Amino acid sequence: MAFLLRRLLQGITTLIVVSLLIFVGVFAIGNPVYVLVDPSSPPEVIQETIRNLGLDRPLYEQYLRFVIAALHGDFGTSYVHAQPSLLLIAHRLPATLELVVTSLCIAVTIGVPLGLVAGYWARSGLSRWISSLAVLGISVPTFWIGLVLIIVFALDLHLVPTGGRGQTVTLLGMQTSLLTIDGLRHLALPALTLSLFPTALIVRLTRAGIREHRRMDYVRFARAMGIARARILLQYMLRNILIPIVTILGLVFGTLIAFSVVTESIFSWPGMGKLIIDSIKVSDRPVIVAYLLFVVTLFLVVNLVVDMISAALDPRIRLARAE
Amino acid sequence: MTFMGRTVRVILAVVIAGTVIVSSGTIKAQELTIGTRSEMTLDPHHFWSTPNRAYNVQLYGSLIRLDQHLRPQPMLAQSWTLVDDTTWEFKLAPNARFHNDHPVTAEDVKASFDRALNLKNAAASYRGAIEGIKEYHVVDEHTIRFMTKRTDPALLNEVAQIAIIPREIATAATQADFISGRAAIGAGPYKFAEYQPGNRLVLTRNDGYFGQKAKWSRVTFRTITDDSARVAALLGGDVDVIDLVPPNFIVKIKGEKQLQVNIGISDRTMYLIPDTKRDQSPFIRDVNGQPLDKNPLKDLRVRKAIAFAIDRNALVQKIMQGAGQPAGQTVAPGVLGYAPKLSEIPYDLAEAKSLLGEAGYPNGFAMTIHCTNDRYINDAQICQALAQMLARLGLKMDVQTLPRAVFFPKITDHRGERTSLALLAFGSGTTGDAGGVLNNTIHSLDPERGFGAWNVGHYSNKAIDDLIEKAAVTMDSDKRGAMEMDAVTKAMDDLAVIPLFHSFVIVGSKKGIHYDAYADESTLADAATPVQ
Repeated sequence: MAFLLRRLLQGITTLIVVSLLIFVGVFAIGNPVYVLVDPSSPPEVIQETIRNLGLDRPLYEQYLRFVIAALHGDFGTSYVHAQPSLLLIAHRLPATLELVVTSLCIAVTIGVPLGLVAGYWARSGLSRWISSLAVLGISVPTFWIGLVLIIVFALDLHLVPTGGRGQTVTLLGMQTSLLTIDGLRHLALPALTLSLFPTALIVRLTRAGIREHRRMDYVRFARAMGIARARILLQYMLRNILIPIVTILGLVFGTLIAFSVVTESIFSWPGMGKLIIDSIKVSDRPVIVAYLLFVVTLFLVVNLVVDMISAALDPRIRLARAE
Repeated sequence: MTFMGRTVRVILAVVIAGTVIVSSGTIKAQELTIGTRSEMTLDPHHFWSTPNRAYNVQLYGSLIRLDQHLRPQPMLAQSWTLVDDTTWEFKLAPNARFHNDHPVTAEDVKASFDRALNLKNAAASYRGAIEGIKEYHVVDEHTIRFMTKRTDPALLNEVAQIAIIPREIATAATQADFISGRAAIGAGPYKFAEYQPGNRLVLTRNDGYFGQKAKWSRVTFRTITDDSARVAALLGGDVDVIDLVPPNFIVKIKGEKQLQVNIGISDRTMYLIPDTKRDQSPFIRDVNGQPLDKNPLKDLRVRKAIAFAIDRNALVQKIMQGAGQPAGQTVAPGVLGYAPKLSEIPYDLAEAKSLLGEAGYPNGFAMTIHCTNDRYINDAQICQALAQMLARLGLKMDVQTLPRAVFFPKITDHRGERTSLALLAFGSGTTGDAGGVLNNTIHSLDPERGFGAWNVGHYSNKAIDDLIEKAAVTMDSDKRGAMEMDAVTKAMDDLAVIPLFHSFVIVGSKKGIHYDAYADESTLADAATPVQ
């Protein structure tokens, strides 16, 4: 309990510091009204708009106003979309979640078995192939892979559409495209693109973990006792190497949600990444600020959850010491 | 046997029925999917921009609509008369109805204008569009009068910016009501069907529309903000039309058998703004980096040298891939006040060099050119090319490209540092004649009287100012056009700004769909016509 409380306090401090940084940064970019407004607007209208939006106030006053409103749950209204910025983000969250969760599922289903094979039979030719592919997966930029996939699968083979989100159905109050053929066809390429990096990461982590544990005493004893190889691999070793993988997966999950910007723009996927990049382009300040704060909160929560899962996987890790 | 026979017959019937459905392709052909650069703000009075205005006129409708060349045409107002120099009377079409079947009345018009003027939280308020209007009042159910602050020839174009919605919605609806579609009720030729934020907006034909019926039974606007993704969607056959095609893709699209490129001239002209006011300009130094005792750009000969040193054809051909027309003025062709006699400025490097020498800078000077890198098509590349051309003239050029969120506050801060030479584009969209360009970019800075807001080089010429002011209150369009032409000619002779080229509007479509490009880059479903 004390652990949770301390983490909460830490989180709030982080949020305050980050919100200050964001505010100073956004303020330094300049007055967004000049970007948004039609150039033929008379100056007095522009001036009055600036006054109405409170953008003529000094930085500290704007910040205080923001904090007070935020404490009342109001993170500002998007200049462009005419919607509360938090609501706007919430509307886009399901699409991003769907994309990220699908990619991570792909990454785990492909990455862990490949990593196991590559780690246990480290000297085999297959292992070398897997390792080289993993290096490629980590180093090739997403936007390039995305474009190549579009050219091959959408433009040449006409198997899938070039972008956008397909038909959706409502499941538990959330729009999902996982349950329709059209939805899955639209999801396939962006999910594949986004999964490349985490797949490669998981392959490398699993491989390294297995190689390290192969030499450990408990594995030797197990083998000496004549326990089946598959059982050693899947029951003893996998469980031990899972802890670093879960930790990394948590971080990757957060990163993908927050910064699937590139993939979402290439595939016109209507998630949060596309929202933030479009908002930055037009200086939609309330959305930018709310989004960044949302991302920080997300990372705080993900880290907490990862710590708790690690503790569940390995009782030796005590939460209190996890700091 | 009989059972088998029946099964066969049933299968046959289904197959035939299927064939009939497939062959009645007209139903399919009436559906249109447009890949567009910008998402609609469903609240029609929240965010004033060209894309939004285009959405508004299709869904909500306005008193006046602007055609391809930005000329006013009747829409919900079937006619208008000028009562006196500052009073306009509009007669509404008596059979115009909203999507909820209520008739369109003068009260609705008044409520819509009230909302556009007073909406809170609007960062790009429609107030800027109708600033010339002093007041308006309802005469009778189908008549409304607008009084302008002064004689205002552009009133029709101003009125065309405002979407008309039912009074009960204008006074009570929240922004959430518009997003959900509940309040997305207007009097336009299309009706709201579905909206998925960030993904698509679907409109269907309004069969109860009083005027010419919409061309398509169902139109899907897919939001694809990324340029390459938009082109890919057209290449992949996912959409029928895409707007704002980047020029580097023109050749690619033309090379596809089933696609075509539709080009129209835009109301927007790219030009350079020299700092003609200050005695010492912040981004000009001598070749050794020392401050100069005076600002060379104040000398017409130096401005001419710069103008002659720019190879406009190379700019248009090499960087814009042919999507532009070399310009000799900043007013777009086809717009009232365009001076046909002002031909494109020739490229003459020798003449430019001798002019520069005459002005006392035979060895040139050092200057920074400021440009956006995310506002206009290929703006950063244009900037680089311009710097190279001016380097050939003998100037030591430095290039600064900035995101628009930084660039615009910098250049429009009239008391701040601004720039010495900046690249900008300006359109004639709002006024539909040269007035907008002249009032905003050529007339001396005069915030009190609403002139020169975009005259960021602070050019000032009393004779031209007088002409612009006179034209601004002349109702007779022939006379006004002549005055504007005169003002444009004088300003270009003095190189108040240095024109580069008129931009093109480029729309990609499937073969079989013709698209009439609009000068202000409005994206409209009915600009697309199926060709047999």
